[in-house]
Order: sequence, then structure tokens, then C-alpha cells
Amino acid sequence: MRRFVFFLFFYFFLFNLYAHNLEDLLKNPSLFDKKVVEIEAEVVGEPLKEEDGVWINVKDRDKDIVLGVFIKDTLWQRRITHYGSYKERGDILKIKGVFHLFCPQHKTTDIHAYKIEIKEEGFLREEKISSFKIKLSFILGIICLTLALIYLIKNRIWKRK
Amino acid sequence: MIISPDKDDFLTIFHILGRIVLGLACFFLIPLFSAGIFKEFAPFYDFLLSFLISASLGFLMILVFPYKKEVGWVHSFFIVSLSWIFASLLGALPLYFSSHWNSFLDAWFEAMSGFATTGLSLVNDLEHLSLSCNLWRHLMMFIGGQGIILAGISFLASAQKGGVSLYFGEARGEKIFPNIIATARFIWKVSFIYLGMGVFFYTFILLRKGLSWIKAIVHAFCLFFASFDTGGFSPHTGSIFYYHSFSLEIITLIFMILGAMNFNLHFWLWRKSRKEIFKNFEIKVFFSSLVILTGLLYLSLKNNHWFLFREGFYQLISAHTGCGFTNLSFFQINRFKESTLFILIIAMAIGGGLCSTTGGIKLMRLGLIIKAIKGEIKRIIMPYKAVYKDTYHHLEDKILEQAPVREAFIIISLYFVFYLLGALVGLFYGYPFLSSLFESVSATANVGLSLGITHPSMPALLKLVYIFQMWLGRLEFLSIFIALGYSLSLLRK
Repeated sequence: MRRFVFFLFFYFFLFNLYAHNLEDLLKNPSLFDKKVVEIEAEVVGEPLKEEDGVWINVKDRDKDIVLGVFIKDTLWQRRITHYGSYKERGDILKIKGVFHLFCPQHKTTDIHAYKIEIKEEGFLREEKISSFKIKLSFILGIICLTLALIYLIKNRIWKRK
Repeated sequence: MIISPDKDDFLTIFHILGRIVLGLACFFLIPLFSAGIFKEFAPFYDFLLSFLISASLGFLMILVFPYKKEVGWVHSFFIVSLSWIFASLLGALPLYFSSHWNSFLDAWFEAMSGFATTGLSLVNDLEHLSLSCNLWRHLMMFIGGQGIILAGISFLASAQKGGVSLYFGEARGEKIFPNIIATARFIWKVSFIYLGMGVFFYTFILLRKGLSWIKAIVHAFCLFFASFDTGGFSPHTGSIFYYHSFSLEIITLIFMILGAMNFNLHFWLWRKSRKEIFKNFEIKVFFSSLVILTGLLYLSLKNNHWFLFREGFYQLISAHTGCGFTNLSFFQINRFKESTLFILIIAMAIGGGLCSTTGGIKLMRLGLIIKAIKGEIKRIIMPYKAVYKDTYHHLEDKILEQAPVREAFIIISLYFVFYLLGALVGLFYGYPFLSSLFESVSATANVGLSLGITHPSMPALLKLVYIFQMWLGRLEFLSIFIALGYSLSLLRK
């Protein structure tokens, strides 16, 4: 029994490491190579098709760090509804999978996900248009038109001369 | 005796600058309409404001500063140097308005990086940046890659006289046609034909990856601008890594190499002789350096061939062509051995062909210096009275003469001085020497690969130094130095 508990303990620390964010994962990639990792990140861009699955790109919540996650067709159920972009805040996903520093299948750094959970649903981002900018555009438009008109008149006079 | 510009010269310089600013304002209309089409209303007003500010400034400069003299060499160096400053400052406006850059300095850095086709970026949260703003970032690379002045010359029928000096002032070593307007128009024609091809291939790959039509086309334009103009910006944080597509990596490699080729060579391949590609001196130097550097890279990485391609060779081509695309995160590039980083630094420092969109010391100059050294050794070995003449083939057989070697030596020396000076500033701020050198070479040679020093949180002075380096590197020093020389001569009056 003791041996079994020790084995479990050993297995947990050696083969399952939980990096909570992408920065931790990519700062020490060798430490997590070929091990099970669990991360929370925002899904951004769009799903990208692959032969036997789909790629999604996930972004660290606080930093500009992005990593590709490969999801097999069997797991991919199109549950992700919001992908981070200018108009949307993407879903925050909890992803469990195997991290590869150099994936033998895709020849790149990735995570092969085997469990995906939507932690926080994304939403449409509201566009804020500053009223100051609208007013300034109007004023500058008048200035620009006046200057263009003066230029045209001056140009005509100059050409006549 | 130094020629010193007078009041009339400055009036003419600012008059021409006003025209260039007006031309630049027109380019804002592309992202402005795109923002309208994509229903991105906040960026629409950002671009409208930028357009109106630039157009007003342009008209004002034309009206206030009358055209007093024909444009000559004295004016051209000022016009070229200042037009890049004006363009980057105005180009930074919509970026700053978008609030994705921490300060105007950061936005200016990004705009200079775009116009100089560098690709170093200080953007925050690129994943949530609007499509139109992203298009503008990439369009700046297209405008800068072709040459801000070149754009002006193409549309000015009266540019023939002053156009020659302006053309050479913008770091273009060769003319393609005797007529400068024809040369400018040919460069645009080549670029637009490749643009069509590039957008077609990129769109095809991106559609197969599952992108929507609009996104695929916008990304295709962005990727073309970044690869052919060897700029290196990308619509996503992960650069090329984002797309997870081997075929896209191959296409980007092809366009990077095409962009790094001399436009004169494009002309010969299209209109004259296709055999030129096998004889051309620059191509020979490029492949020689590529073979040597790939061999060294193989020894440095010591891994399987896939690893060598995806982690090594792609970065090597990107560095050599001055593009700056990467299929790795900066954490991964940071993990490269010092020897690998040094190989990339050498590739970045060399750059591509003369009269191309790349930066760096350029293949022709490197080749000429190597030939000159070889010639000097042969001359010593040969009998005292023997006459030794070396030749090289660049569009035609040429004899190696003193003047181009001297010019090449001066430019190479200046590049090395600024590579080291930038590295010293980085070192002063506590960054490791190799990382500082990497970033400094990347900025001066307009490459854009980064080990992470280029970050919104980096010191303001370092940002200014890199802006200066990108500007100097893009214009190959002389225009700026001559303009500074003229300015100093005013103080002596």
C-alpha cells in the first residue's frame, strides 16, 4: 500500500504538472515537456482546420502570450461560441492536455487537449465612440476644406499668371 | 567650402514635404473605408481624424511655404530624411487614438517600425485590435517598403529633374530605366503583380484553414505586405506560428526571398534574360552565405531535420531577408543557444539585395568587400609588375573598381558602428550583451526579430534609440548625415 501511495505521489509530480498560465508554461517549457498541463486562457482568432482535428489559439489572460491548442475531431464539439477579436472577448477556457515542446505530429510547440471546459463565457465588446472625436472631426473637416479651397484658388491664380 | 542652404531652399523643402504629407493623407482613406465596411466605428473616427490632420497640415505647408527653387541634391537629402519623420509621426496618430499603445512614443515607434519595414512592435493586446487598424499597420510597411518618396515620384510628372536625387536619397543604389518616373512605375508594377499573386495564394491557404472570406482576404493582404516588403508585422501575436500551417510557412518563405531580391533583377528576369539568376553576383553571395549559415545552424542546433527547418531555417531566412516573421514565440527564441543567436545576428546584419525592401549591409556590398580583400591578397602574392583585375557579374560583366568598394566599406562600417552603439545602450540598461546586440541589429537592419527587449515596458530612451536606428538603417545613413551636415553649416554662417 505504501509503495502504491508513493508511486501515485511520484507519478503526480513527475508526469502531471499544472501550469496555471501560459507565461509559466512557456518560461520553463522543458519542465513541462510531454507532461499533462492545465491552463486557463482566452480563446482568440478563429478555429483553424487540420486533418484530424482543429487548432485554436489561446491567449494568456494578462499578457500577450499565445499558444496553439490541438483538439481532436472527437473532442471538438463547437461549444466555443466567442473567439477573442476586436468585437468580442473570447471564452475563457480551462484546458487539460499534453504539452509538447516540439510536437512529433505537428513539428511545433503545442498542447494536445483532452479536456476542455468553458470557465467564463465571452461577450460582445461595446464600442465606445468618443463624442470629442466626432466634434473634432467636424471642426477639422471645415478647416481642411477651407485650406483646400484656398489652395485651389491660389493654384488657379498662379496658373493664370 | 560647404554649400549652405538658404531661406529659399528651406521654403522649397517644406513645400515638397507638404505635398508628400498630402499624399500620405490619401493613404489613410484605405483603412478609413475598410473601417466603414467592417463596421468598426471607433477606428473609423480615428482614421478620419488622422486623415483630416494630415491633409490640413499638407495644405498648410504648401500654402505657407512657396516653391522657390528646382529640387536639387541639397533639398533631396532634407526631403527624404524629414519625410520619414513626418510619415511616422502622422502614421502613429490612428495607432495612438486606438488606445492599444501606451503612449504616443510607443505609437511612433510602431509607425517608424512599419514604414522602415522593421516589424518590432510595442502593441498591447494585438488580438483585440481592429481589422482596419491592423490593415494600417501592414499598409505602412507597403508604403515604406516601396519608398515614401518613390510613391511621390510615381505620381509627379514634373519630378524628373529632382526625382533622381530624391530616388537615390532614399537608399536605392540603382536605377532600372534611365527615366526615374519609369523606374518608379516599374517598381510599383512589379509590386502590384506580386501583390495579386500573393493575395491569391494566401487567401487560398487561409480559406482552407477555415477563415471567413473577409478575414482571409484582409489577412492575405497583411501577410503579403509583411512578407514581400520584408516588414514582419503580423495580424496576430503569434506571428506565423498562429496559423499552424506548413504551406503558409513555405509561401511566406518564397515571398520573403522575392522581396529581398534586387528590383533590377526582377526586371531582368521578366524582360531580358532568365539566365541572369544563375550568374548574378548578389544571388551567388546570398546562396553562399545561406549555405554557410545553414551549415553552422545545423551544427548549432544538432537536432532532427524538421526541428532544423521549423525552428532554425525559417528564422534564418526571415533574418537574412530582413522580414522578421517567426514561427516561434520569443520565449522559444530566447532558449536558442548563444551560437544560434549569433548566426541569426550575422544573417540579420547582412540583409538582402540592393534596391530591394530589405535593410542591413546588403549582399552586393558584402560581396564587393570580400572580392576586394581577395584581390588585395592576390595582388601581394603576384609578381610586382603584374596587373590584376577582378570582375563580377551584376546584370552585365563589371570590373571591380575602387569607388564602389570604398562606398561599400563606408556603409558597412557605419552599420557596424550603429549595431554596436545600440547594443551598448541596451547593455547600459542592464540587458545581456548578446540580447542587446540582437535587438540592436534587428532594429538597424530593419528585421524585427526580438528576444523580448522590445516591449511596451522598455525604457523610453531605448525606444528613441531604436526609432533612430530604424530611421538611419532604412535610409542607409547618408541622407540623414548629409542633411545634418547642411544643418550644421547653417550654424557656421
